[in-house]
Amino acid sequence: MKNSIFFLVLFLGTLLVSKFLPWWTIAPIAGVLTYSIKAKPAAGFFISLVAVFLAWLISIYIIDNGTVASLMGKLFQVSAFITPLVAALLGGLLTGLFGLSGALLAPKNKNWA
Amino acid sequence: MRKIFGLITLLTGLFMVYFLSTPQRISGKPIPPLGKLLNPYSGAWQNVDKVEDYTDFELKSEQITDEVKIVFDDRMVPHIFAQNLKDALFAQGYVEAYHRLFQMDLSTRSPSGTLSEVLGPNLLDYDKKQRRLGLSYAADNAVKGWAKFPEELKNIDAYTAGVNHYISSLSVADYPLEYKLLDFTPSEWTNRHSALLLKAMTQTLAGYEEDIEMGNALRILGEKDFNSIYPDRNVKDIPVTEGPYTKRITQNATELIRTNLPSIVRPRSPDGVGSNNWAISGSKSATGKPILANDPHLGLSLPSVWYEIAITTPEFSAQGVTLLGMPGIMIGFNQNIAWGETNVGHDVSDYHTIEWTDASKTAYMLDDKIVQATLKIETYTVKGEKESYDTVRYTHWGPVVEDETNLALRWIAHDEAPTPDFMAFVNGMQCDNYDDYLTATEDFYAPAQNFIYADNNDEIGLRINGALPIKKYRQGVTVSSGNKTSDGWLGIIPRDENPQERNPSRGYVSSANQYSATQEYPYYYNGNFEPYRGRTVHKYLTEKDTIDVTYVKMMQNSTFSMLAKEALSVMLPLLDSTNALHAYAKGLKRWDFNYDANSLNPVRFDKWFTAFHQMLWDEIYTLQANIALPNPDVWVTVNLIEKETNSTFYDIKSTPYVETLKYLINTSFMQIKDDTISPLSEEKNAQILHLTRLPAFSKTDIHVGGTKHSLNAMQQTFGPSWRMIVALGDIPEAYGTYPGGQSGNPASPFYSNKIAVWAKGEYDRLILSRTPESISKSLFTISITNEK
Repeated sequence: MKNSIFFLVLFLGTLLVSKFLPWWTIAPIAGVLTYSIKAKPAAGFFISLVAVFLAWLISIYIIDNGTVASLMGKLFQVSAFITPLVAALLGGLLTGLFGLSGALLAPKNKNWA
Repeated sequence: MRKIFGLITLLTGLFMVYFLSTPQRISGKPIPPLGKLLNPYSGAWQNVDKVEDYTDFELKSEQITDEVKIVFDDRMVPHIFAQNLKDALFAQGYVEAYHRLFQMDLSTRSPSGTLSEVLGPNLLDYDKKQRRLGLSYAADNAVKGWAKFPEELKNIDAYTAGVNHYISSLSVADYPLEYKLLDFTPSEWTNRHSALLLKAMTQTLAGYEEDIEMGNALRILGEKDFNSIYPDRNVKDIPVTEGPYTKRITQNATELIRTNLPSIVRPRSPDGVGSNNWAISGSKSATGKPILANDPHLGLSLPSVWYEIAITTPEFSAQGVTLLGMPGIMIGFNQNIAWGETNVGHDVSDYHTIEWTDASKTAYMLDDKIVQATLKIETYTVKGEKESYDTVRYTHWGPVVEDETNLALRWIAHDEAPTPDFMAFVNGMQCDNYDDYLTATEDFYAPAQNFIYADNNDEIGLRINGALPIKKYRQGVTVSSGNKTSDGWLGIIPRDENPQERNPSRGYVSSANQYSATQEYPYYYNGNFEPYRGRTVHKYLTEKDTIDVTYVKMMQNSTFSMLAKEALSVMLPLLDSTNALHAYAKGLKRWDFNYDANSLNPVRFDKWFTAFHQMLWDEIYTLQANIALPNPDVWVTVNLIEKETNSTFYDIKSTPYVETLKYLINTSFMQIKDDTISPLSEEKNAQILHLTRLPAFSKTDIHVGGTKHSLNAMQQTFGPSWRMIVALGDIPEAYGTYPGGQSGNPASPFYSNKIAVWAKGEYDRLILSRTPESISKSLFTISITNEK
């Protein structure tokens, strides 16, 4: 339950606030969240990663009509198809790292462990 | 343990933020800041340009006095409707930045020598060369001169304010893609940026320089051979203007200085930059009214050097193309008139020897007196490295381009124009008769251009506008002495005496970078002139009595090579019978001399002629490995073999035998006999590169014919950058095409959409719209209102 709420907050939060804040801000936010809710390290990492990965990926699919994906593909000499995935994975991994740190640094709570 | 692990992951995360926010180098390759570039909210994805998302929007500015509407038609051409000129120019600045900000930024960084600031240390050497040529100094001089015309300056101020209005409206997410990729931010636009663009244009078009190479050649060859191989003038040329001119008493010739110097390598455009224009009078036109055509040939790039625009105020309505960063319309038409330009090749760049008083090179001799040089310290901010410095010595003549060579550069680009030269294209677009147009354009200073004109009152005309130095006979052919102030130019040719023609009896005016005037022209004229296109224009225009738009389109797209025709008429008959029966020779005999994209003949001719030309001028080409010498012109070869069956030049100096013309022709033919070649377009491999040369943003494999000597002067990366035809009348019937697109954004459908039409030799119809309502298909409208 807690993890689902955390996921939703992070996912929606990314969609809502990223437009107004520097691109990396969502990562420390995830860290603060996992710290506050004392998430398990594995959950802190994976939920942060998946929430931001999906938020970024969906955002990219909404924003782009394939032109930028194709341009970035040509630029990095990879298939146009994978550029949104790589972008989303960057965001996801970064947020995952902060999510993991938050969880690891939080004082242990038996109930939630 | 858990906390330590947590700290490690936290530090890794922080490092990752840093790593993804800054440009990196991985095994020598530059990597953009990936997080900044690839995040969905401010990264590259935000640069997508979807037609279905276009909506009208409004702006407010205290810089304008009345409401301005900018309607983008279905080709993304902005039509500006303003109540006065300054408001219109504000809007012009705004839309140019709106579509081409990165281009405007980068193309001013080239002349200002600040490319390394954003592109890194690889460009530092280029930047230093640009500053040593004095381009930044030249822009400072221009701005100083402009300040003397406060009333005119308000126009350029309005343009600048428009550019800045756009820049200040940008958030990081809105930055053009290239800024995100190269990780820098747009900076404020100033009038100096416009001056820099004018200087960049002068460098491209009037940067021709062979003084050292010619001086070396004179020393090696002696006067007689030198004059034969490098004559001033092609006797077969048909000059732009016929006069009548009256020759003045010839002044004493300058004694040419012989040199033994290495080339000064300076960034300049390769051979092939040039243009065509012609205007036919009503008497020769199918419509009964004049038709004007202009196609400037420049380095092709994405985004294109040109931007299409239309400007309407209650006084006038004009349309055409603008050079980004300069207010006004450079090549275009209005309700009554049409105009355009081609380049003038008169030599406006001379090197003068400097005699330093000592090794510190801080003072030099001039008029037998010691004169202090001005030492200018140039500072370079280099991306990813520490600042770099360079001291440039300025003399009476101009900057010393290379300290080792002890030559100072006298270049028209450095002059503070005595006129508000930036107004030529602002004033020109508003005229409705030739007298006004002549007045409007006489202030233009450099680079000198053949300004062509036609109107619906059946006037046609052409005048060179620009500063042409007065020189002694043969002055500036080689390096000039710098010992006396009297070694310099004698002044500037009075504008009234610049070569010009008005309604000549032949019924047309034309120019294609050939000589400007006949031999009788009162002033000495030398430089870099095109030998074949000018005559080709004349051939087409005299061949037909009545000319229509279709014929003019054919001319602009013609790939006919007069060089090939003239050279083969000598070369083919001299082939030995065994060679002459060869399939290649048979093909060339049937060839119509057109450089068609799919043809093999032009490729074979080029290979044969190049081999022949190099064998013929072995006395030059064999020495070029050790000493800087100019390449002999191809027309010199053609004129020689047409006239002389025997010449000492035919002998190959390195053999004990005496070779003949026939021997050279047959031997050079053997070199192509069994060659495997591809059709012209594949050999040519035409490409239009993005300004950063990134392949992802460039277009390659462009299927086109043409050669630098045909009217369609298409080479690999140079060619017709804009083709315009205007048939004047009550309503002008105009056509235009260029290899690019209106938007500079590689993610826009309007980035390179016009290339296909251009490559096929087709045109868009340009429709002059007097009111916003008359634009039937529009993409969106920007309204600008006064803030108060």
